Amino acid sequence: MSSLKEIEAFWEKVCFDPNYQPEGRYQTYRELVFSGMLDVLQSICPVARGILSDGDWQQVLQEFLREAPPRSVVIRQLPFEASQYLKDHDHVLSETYPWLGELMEYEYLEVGVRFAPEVQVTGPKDSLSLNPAHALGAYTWPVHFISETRHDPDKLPRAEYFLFLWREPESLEVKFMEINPLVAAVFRHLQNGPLNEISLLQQVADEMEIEPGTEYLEEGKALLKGLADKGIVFKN
Amino acid sequence: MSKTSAGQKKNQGDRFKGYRLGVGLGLRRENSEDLVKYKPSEIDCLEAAPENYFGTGGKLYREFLELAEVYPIVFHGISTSVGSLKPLNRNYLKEVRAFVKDFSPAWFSDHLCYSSVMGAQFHDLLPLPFTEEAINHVVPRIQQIQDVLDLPFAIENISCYVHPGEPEMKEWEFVREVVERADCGLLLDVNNLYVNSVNFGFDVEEYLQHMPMERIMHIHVAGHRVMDDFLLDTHGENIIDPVWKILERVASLTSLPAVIVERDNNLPPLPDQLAEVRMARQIIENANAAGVSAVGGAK
Ligand SMILES: [Fe+2]
Repeated sequence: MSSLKEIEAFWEKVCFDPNYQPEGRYQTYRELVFSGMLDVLQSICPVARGILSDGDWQQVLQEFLREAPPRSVVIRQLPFEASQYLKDHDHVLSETYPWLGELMEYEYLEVGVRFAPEVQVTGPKDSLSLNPAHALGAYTWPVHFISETRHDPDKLPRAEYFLFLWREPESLEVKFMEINPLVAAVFRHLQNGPLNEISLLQQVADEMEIEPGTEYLEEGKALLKGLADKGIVFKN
Repeated sequence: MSKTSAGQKKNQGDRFKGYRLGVGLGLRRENSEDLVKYKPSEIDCLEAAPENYFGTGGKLYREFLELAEVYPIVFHGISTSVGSLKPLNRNYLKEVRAFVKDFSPAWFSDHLCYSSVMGAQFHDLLPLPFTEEAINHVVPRIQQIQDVLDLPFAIENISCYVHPGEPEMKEWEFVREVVERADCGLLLDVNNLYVNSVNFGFDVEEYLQHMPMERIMHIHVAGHRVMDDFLLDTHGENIIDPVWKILERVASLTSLPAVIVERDNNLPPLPDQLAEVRMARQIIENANAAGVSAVGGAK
């Protein structure tokens, strides 16, 4: 074995192939690559990292690396790429940790929002824009309640959960809140671009099949004001 | 020192030595806030990985911008994977180029290794075989990198624990052939050199005697961990005497445009990091006093 082709294929086996047992110092390389990934998980997805044992992670990561090799050169993207694979596929530990992909995505979103690029928002006068440093997660597991002591899938209430994260413009801190489907609809419509208050509320009413009467509009305006006060919605 | 003065291109004959960035520290998430707060005068320049910053915003990004106002930035990547058989990631290179141009970098650097295999990207550095085929593969890729970035490029010697395949030559020969044929600069990591010299039992002096000193643009000084029967390069421990000795030796042989104390993890408090920067400066100033103009620096 000396050609570049053979050697690169060999390195792949050393790093990612669960059916191959590397010898000697090659095992050191397998451990380094694996522990490097665990370190990234520890800093980006500490909750998920803490629930699964090292052995569990080895199984999950080996499957992910084999089936959907990470492409991003940006280290913090690795847990996101893994979360998308785990969300979309039945994986080796699906039965024990069916929420794993959703939890990892949710944990990643905080980092994604923390590092979101700084984009200047513009729009017609008086229109509303969504703070561009945000993320809207939709989950079937209560990922925001999962912890090392609370992760038994049989005891977690399945439902539709909407979680919104945003970076406060002044403090640059990332905040999160659980929102209802109506507020999620508000954010989805604003994600398409700036809208004035009335058309926004009307579009949401159409989607949610609500009569846009006076009461709805008053409540909607109060909601939007609250969102503006929190630095979630900007008035142009 | 303004960031532009550090980045001015020098004439061709001075391609590798025409810069004086001085002695600096690797910028990490863990020391960023303190560096902004104290803007220590011990440091002439900072080294940063562009992939940590491009396409981002927020606190860390703003800290980076603030530091770039004060210190020249030496850009050092980990993702080109010059060894891999997959085509170079041109999108990555273009992103690097678009990002770094605002900071008038003097050069760009990365490692002589694999940092992806079969297209899967990771963040460890795997060694190449020391073969003619590997040299012929790596050289045009380095030239492509220089072309896309439109910057001088320095390649770094990595630490390793195995030699994959059957080596056709010694490490110094492999590294030298790559930099000579690619006509690029050398980033000599003196810790990696030390680690390999112990792990494979070769003579550091022999290595240095064969290295083209005129191509050294950039030095890394770092720490490693002593394991049962080998040295593990962690870039996460204090720098030990034998590694300082190699820096001293190199500084006595050639001028050093940039010397970076590189700590990737397990970072001690900033004063301890700065102590190692002062140590590096002291060693280089002693070499200067002995007649070699090792490093200009800003101070
Ligand atoms: Fe290094």
